[in-house]
Amino acid sequence: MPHSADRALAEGFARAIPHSAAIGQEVLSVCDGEARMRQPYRVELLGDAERGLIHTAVQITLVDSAFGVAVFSALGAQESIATLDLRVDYHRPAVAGADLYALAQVERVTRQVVFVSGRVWQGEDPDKATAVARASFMRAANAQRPVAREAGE
Amino acid sequence: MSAEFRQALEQVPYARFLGIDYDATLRLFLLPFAEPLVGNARLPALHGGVVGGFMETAAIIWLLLHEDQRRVPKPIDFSIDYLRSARARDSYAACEVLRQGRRIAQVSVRCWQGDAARPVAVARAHFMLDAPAAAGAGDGAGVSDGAAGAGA
Repeated sequence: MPHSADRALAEGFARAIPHSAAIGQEVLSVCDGEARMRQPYRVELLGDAERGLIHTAVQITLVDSAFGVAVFSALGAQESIATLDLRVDYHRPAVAGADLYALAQVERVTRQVVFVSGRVWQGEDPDKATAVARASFMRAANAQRPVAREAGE
Repeated sequence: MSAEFRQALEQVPYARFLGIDYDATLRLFLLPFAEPLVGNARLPALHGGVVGGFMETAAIIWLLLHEDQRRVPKPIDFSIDYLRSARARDSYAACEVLRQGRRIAQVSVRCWQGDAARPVAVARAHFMLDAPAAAGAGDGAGVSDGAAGAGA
């Protein structure tokens, strides 16, 4: 079960992130560096109307949101973070008519950087990923802008 | 708005959802600022996924407009480096095709706001192209090699 701070995070998510509210993203669960989210299907999210496919960019946004939620839950404080980079591999087409689900997991937290991985799928089987993704985040990015060089420290 | 770009919006409804426009003279994509694109209401800053999605969509439409693709190219992968926070203002994107083979195109995208010399993000992506029907003969074995949208 998510503890209370994480429940507050899930409930406050839509209010804090206007784009997530606009596109309809939902936090399903969040606990200790792991977040699950859902993107309900909408026809305006299609990226290939002819083939009936959801735009891959919708999955970028979904995993980016899920990564942010997972990282915040791992850091356990109101620490500001900045995404350094993000990579998404598209394993399967995401088809029209079905919701997208995302799982994001924090893999390692260092003094400066947080590493995360995640996946997106449709239907019941997370192993049949439509996309797998990886990102790194800079910690305490509030005052100064992130400098990519520091990522390797 | 050119007829070609209007047709691309028909093919890629999500581009219209984000509000993407294209300047055919400058060959630049525009993402006008709108409140629903915000990811961090305190700064405020655009959602990182919106920046990435804008850049990936720009690359797709670029291939439709300039590389003789009639069907939407299938994204294989997308990789983005965030360089600066994308603030609550209009964003621009420019695309460059680094390599285009018969089946795969590699596209580089830069995104900036006020100053083109200070990009907020750079990205690169691979796309699977629609093989011309006539050119398929010698190339068929690799067409369904499992990538992405490969459409299997």
